[in-house]
Amino acid sequence: MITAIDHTVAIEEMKTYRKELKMKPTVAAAIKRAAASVGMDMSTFIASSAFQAAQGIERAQHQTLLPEAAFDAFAAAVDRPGRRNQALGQLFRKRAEMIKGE
Amino acid sequence: MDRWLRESAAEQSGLNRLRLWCATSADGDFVEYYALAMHAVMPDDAPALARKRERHAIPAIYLTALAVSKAHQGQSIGTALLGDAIARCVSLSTEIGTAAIILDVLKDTHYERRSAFYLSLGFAPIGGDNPGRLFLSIKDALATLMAEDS
Repeated sequence: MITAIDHTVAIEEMKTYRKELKMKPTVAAAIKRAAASVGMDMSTFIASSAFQAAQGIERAQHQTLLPEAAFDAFAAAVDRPGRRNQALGQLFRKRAEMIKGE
Repeated sequence: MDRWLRESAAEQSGLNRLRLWCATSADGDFVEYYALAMHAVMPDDAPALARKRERHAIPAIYLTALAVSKAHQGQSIGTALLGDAIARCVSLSTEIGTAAIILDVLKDTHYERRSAFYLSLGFAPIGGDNPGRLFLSIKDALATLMAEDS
C-alpha cells in the first residue's frame, strides 16, 4: 500500500477555514481515488498536498539545495576569477542608454 | 504577473522578503519591474557537512521576477532592465557578501529561447533537481561591468 502523511498535522490549530473548490470532474475523481488509496479523506489530502507544494515554492525562493557534487561545481564556478562576457556587456550598454536615475 | 504584483509582491515587500524595483517611461507610464530577494545555495546534506567544516551555504541574490508591461514589450526594455538588475546585484555584493545571481527561467512556450539568451550572458544551470534554475557568478558580472566602465 502506498503511504502518505498529513503534512499539516504538526500545526496545532483547529480547521476553521473553509474553501469551496471548483475543479474538473476528472481531476476530482483522481484526487478522490488517490486520497482513498492512502486512507485520507479528500479534504485532508488536498490540504496536505497543497501545503507541501506551498512550502516548497516559498523555500525555493530563498534557498537552493544541491547534491554534493553539484554544490562543489557551483562553489568552484563562483570562486574562480571573473570573466568578461561580451553579451552581458551589451546588456549593460543597453541599460546605460535606456535607464536613468533611481 | 499582475496578480503576483498585487497579492504577493506587496505582502513580501512589507515583510522584508524582497524588494521591488520599478521603471516608468518619461511620461510617467508604469513600464516594467523586477524583484530581488536574498538566497542561499546549500548542499542538501548541509548539517552533516557543516559539522565536518567541509561545506557551508553560499549567499546569493534571487531575481524573483522581471516583467515588462504589454504596451512596452519588443523595445529592448526588458534587456535594459535585466542589465539594471544585474548591475544592482553587483553593487549590493560590495555591501553584503553575495556570490551569485540566481533566477528561474519561465517555463512557457519561449522557454528554450529564454534559456539560450541567459546562457549567452554567462548564466549556467545550477544543477541538481532544479531544471530551469540558472546562476551567474557575481565575479563574472563585476568583471564585465568594470570592463564597460573603463
